[in-house]
Amino acid sequence: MKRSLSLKEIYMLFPKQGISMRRRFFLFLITCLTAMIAIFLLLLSLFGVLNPADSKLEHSLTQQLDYSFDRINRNMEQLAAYAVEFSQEITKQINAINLPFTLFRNNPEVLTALQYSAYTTVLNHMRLADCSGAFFMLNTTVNDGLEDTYYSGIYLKYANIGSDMTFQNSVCMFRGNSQVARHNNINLFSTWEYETKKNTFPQMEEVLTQLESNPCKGYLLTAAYQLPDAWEHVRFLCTPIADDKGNIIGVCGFELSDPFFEAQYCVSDAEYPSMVCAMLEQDNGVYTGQIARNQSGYIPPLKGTISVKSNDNFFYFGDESISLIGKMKYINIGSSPHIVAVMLPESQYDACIRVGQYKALALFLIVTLLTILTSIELSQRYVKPLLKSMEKIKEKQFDHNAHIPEINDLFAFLAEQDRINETAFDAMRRENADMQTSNEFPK
Amino acid sequence: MKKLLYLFLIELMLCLVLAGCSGKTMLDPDDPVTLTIWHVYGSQTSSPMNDMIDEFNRTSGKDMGIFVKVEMVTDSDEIDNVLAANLNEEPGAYELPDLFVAYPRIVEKFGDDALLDFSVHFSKEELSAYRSDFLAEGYFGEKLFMLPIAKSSELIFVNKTIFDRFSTDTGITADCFNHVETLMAACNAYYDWSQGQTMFQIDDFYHYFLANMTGLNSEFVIDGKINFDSDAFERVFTPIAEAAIYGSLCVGDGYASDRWKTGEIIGSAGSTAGILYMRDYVTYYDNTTEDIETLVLPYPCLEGSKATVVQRGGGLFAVKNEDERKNQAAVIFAKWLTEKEHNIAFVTNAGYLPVTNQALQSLFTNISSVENEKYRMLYSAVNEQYENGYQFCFLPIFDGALDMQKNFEKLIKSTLSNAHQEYIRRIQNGENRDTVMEELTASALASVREALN
Repeated sequence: MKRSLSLKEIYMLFPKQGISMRRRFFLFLITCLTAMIAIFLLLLSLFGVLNPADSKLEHSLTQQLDYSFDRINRNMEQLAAYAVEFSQEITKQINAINLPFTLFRNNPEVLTALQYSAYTTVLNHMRLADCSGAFFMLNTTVNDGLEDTYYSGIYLKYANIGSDMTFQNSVCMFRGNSQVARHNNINLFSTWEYETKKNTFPQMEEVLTQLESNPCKGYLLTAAYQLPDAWEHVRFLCTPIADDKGNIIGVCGFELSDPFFEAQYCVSDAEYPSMVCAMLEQDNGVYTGQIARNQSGYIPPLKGTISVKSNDNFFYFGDESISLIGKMKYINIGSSPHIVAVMLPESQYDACIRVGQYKALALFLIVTLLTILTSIELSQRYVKPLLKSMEKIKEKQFDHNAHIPEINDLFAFLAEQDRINETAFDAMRRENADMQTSNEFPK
Repeated sequence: MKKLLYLFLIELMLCLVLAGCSGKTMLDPDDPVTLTIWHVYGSQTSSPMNDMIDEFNRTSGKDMGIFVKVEMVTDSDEIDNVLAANLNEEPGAYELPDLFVAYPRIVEKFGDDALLDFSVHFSKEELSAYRSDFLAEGYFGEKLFMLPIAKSSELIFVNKTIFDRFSTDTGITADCFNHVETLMAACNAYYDWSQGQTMFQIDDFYHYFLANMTGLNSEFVIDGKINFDSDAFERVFTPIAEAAIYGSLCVGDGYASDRWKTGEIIGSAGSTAGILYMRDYVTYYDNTTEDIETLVLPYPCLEGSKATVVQRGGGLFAVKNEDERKNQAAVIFAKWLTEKEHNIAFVTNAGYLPVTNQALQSLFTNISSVENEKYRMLYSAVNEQYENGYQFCFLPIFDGALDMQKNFEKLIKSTLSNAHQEYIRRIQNGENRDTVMEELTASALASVREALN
């Protein structure tokens, strides 16, 4: 009958020779060395020299920056494409009136008629593009007898200042003829005006005087402005409207409000929930811009102008109230230069580094403790028997089961020597006895 | 020694593992909790509520680790719609905010356990500081789901500059605004004087009916149904119907503040909060503007009835969160906002009334402390309503109240608008004005009654 062997029986089958002294010494030496390295690393991490969190954070910021940059670049190109089409549509509608553009000035009937016909174009492009509003503004007015200069046109916005502009959101008129709004059953924005006053959006107006009249080449993205008498900041992607002779007669495009930007470029699925994406502009060393939402929902309350300082691998962004740390990249949208930045509050960056430091400290502490314990264990199991065997040698008790081959050999050697010595001693003793006998009984 | 070392090592590892697993239960300034809010104060214009939130974030919020983030500023109807879309799990619906401002009618849309019960987090002493009738509106059974943060009443805004011109020519004085009947007669006179302009807009016909039927000692809503068969209903309906059919009372969509901007109306009855949107100039068709003066007057009542006005204004709701830190933060923010000085600062910039007894008393005993003259006029008119013995009524709460209110508004506007078109057509055909008016008023009432039946 077959019987299976137990683990204990298998173990007992192995010869009990033990580990050689060389190996024991080598093992002990390695453990001691590991303990020393662990202590060294522990000290390095304690003083902040060694912290893997730093490079991990840098990598994460770089990755997010690349992603946000590509996304903004792609979206702006798409928006520019819609703006070009929008511009061409408005040009067609102006041409359809069949009146020289100069005769539009001080002509409320013609401008109202144009707004009635262009309303659907503005609304459709607004619905089509990823934006919070759409507008066209012509270099003409219903009344140039007023003290200020005005531009006629329609500017529609989504009515709710919410984060998501696409769901159940009605449209309202920010600039334009109120009768056109009534006709299309939409409300006027709280700070509605009939026409846009000169210098309300200076960068938008620059398009009216630029040389490039081709909408495909002449587009730009403005800096962020505060809407007059409102709490909202907006920026515009603008492209020129040209007449059939190529003269710039207006500007059209899309609005990107703060809430829209926050939702559109929200940093989600990031390893660091407080990471935010921003789009900034620099003017004489002063930075302004828009900041998107982040995963944690907390947006750094940056107000007004932002200072930017470079330091090694990172940039420091901030105002008087908060400091952020991150990375940035330059981007050109049409003819306007901008900066895409990804950042997180410095306090949270420090907290991440601190957590990384604690983790490394804990890890090295555990490794150090483990290696010290192993050294103690090795010393107990391997060095102590050596010392015991030495004692036994001194006491001439040769234990042949020391489980240390070298000691067993030594014991065997010493026993053999003892045996040889004993034999020699016996021979000498016998020789001595023989000599005494021959002296007492001479032949 | 050896055992001790092993024990130490195991404990150390356990500590590290537990430290990694522990969830946060306390507010921490180094790791702020974010509360999202949807509110109605300010809409697209400068928002006094946003200013208060900014102040909270800069001060107490920063110290305690709370960051309140405004996600939506819109009107109460829109908030109702968007909340309902989420609760009905409609595709593309917004995520629920942590805090929102709405009327009590929204509670029916939420389950029993979805909203935070403020009464658990406020002591009796803290609750007693609030005006009891404001607080009562927020109770649903034993639970306080809606905390009052600002209340409004209704009154009349008049473009005094244009009205004075009309008054000079016609002899009709501002006394016409005292009663509904004289007001509607003045509207018709204005229509003739201005060659076809509407004069007045009532922002909320549901409120108009509620207040005036209450003033006639009748109930507007009985068992969740509009009391349309009563004589009081007809008495309240007739003057506005006649003016609307004539063309002098606006029954178009949107708030009165919209038409105020262009001079398409020169008066409106609506919430005190409307003052935020009543600008001080009018823009005309040729883009010229005219600076105007505003007159704020008490809400009109029917002749011989008890002057009555709706006490309105939503309250703050908090969505109950699994993260206890968010619930704590919501309560802290609510308490901060209703502290006397914060509450007065907020409401006096938004045209509302404060919600604590102390703040309310402080405001009305010292109206002159309100900086803006227009707002001073507003609080004087509200005070006049209090002093002249106005009775206040609240919106009735019942299942389906929200839909009923919306449908009623649409019904009145569409019925009267169609009747006006018919009136114009028949007058142009040479029919007798009085006969047509009488017929159309009767038929409009009949069709409203039929629709409500």
